[in-house]
Amino acid sequence: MNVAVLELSDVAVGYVRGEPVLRNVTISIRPGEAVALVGRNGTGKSTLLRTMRGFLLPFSGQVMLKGHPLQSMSPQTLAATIGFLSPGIPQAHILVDEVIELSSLGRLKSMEQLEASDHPDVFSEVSGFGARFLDEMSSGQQRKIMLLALVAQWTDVLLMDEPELHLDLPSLRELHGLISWATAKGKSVVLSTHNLETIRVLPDRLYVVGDKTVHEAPRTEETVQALLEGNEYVPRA
Amino acid sequence: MGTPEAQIVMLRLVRIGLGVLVGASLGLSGFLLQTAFRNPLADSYLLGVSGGAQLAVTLVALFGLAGTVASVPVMIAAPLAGGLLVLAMLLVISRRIGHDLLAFLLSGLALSYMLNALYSILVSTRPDILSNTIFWSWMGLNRASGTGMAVVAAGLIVAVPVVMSLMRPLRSYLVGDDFAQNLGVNVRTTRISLLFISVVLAATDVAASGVVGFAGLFSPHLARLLTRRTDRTFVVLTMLMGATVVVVGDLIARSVSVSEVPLNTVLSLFGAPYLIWLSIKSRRVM
Repeated sequence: MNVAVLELSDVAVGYVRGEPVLRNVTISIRPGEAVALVGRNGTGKSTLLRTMRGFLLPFSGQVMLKGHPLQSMSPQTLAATIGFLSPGIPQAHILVDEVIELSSLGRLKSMEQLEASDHPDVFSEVSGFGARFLDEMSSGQQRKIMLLALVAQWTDVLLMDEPELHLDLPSLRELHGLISWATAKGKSVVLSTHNLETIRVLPDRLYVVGDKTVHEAPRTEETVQALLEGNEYVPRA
Repeated sequence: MGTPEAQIVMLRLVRIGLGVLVGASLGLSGFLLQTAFRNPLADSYLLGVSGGAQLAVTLVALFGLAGTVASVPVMIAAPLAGGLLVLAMLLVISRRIGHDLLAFLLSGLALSYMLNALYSILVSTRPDILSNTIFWSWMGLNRASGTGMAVVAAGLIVAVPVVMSLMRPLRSYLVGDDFAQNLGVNVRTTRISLLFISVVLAATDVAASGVVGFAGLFSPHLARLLTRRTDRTFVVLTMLMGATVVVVGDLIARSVSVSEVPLNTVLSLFGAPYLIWLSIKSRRVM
């Protein structure tokens, strides 16, 4: 039961040209857990998430997804197994229905169908927005659509790069609801975050990214205080 | 060959036929360019792709290969090479500019002015080539021929099925690089494919009817008034709108003045104010 769905063993990550951003990264994500990556700006959280998704190749070490090396999996298999929420706002002139259709890999045809299928009951504000163009909505609304699109992709692992961006306070609670819904379904969620509320209430486990590597920290108020002070010596789990 | 009346009807039909094909081709080319650059202001004329194609044909003619310009392979290869060279420059420019729609359009416009200046200098060195039959094309559809029609039709026959089969990656790409890659789409291949097909179409259009601007800008926007989804129907409607714009534009070109006005002039008359309006609108959005 304790088999990891996503496993990084002694991985070094970075961009094609240049030094590794992080080294000796060993992370193990189990089914049904929510894991948060925290740490200061520019420490490599996004780089790590992009490596987990297979957008970037690790410099060294191995990334295993459901027991298979990530690099050996086809783009289609990856798309059906591990989803990624970009931190960017699309601003694309395309219908919400089409975004849902594309994300669900053809399984669903519209926002309406998503709402009629198994889905978290959140973001009711954008319900019925199927026939709207993405770029005619606010950043926060587009964000909600992209989060629902990630749900529609129906993957075992959901990676989210700062999912709270642009969300108002009630929507933040709904985001937590969405993530809890996913983990209750046995899906694993890995997110990077700078949000205090998220760090305090949401994750099952916490990884601190900094000092060119990653280590696990206990989910305690002491850790939160150390993070708030930018303390390099965040407690270790 | 039938009565003179029948011949006139035949000429008119060929001219309309070429208008339909060139319009459809320009419309599709514009849609692909706007998608690949994620910029609703893109058009093969405004960005200099057509200008590059025109310059390449002129160069081939000036280097004593005038006779060969009439041959179909050269008729396609020369504008294609010119268009691709401009595309390479646009890619470098867009990489530096990032996602500033108006700055990119401005750079493209500057590029097309430069290409047009080079073209004028080349033509001035050999005024006689203006009277050469090869340069009939710069007027528009007024020397419509079966060969021109065949070249444009061939471009469409290759491009349309490819575009139709690329709709899923194309739409995913439209949303964003991360979004597309997350759905298993190869972003770089998709972008290059869309741009390559767009330039191939624009090159066949230049070969058959010279530089015709704005039709590529108009067509996807007009089609958007008829359908909101970016699906195959939208692609077909874009081509129909392109055909309509060019045929109606040509009708105006033939009838407003004592002598014929170039098609590009007519389309610019409508296209320029529309572009200004679009720029104001896109500025407001940003």
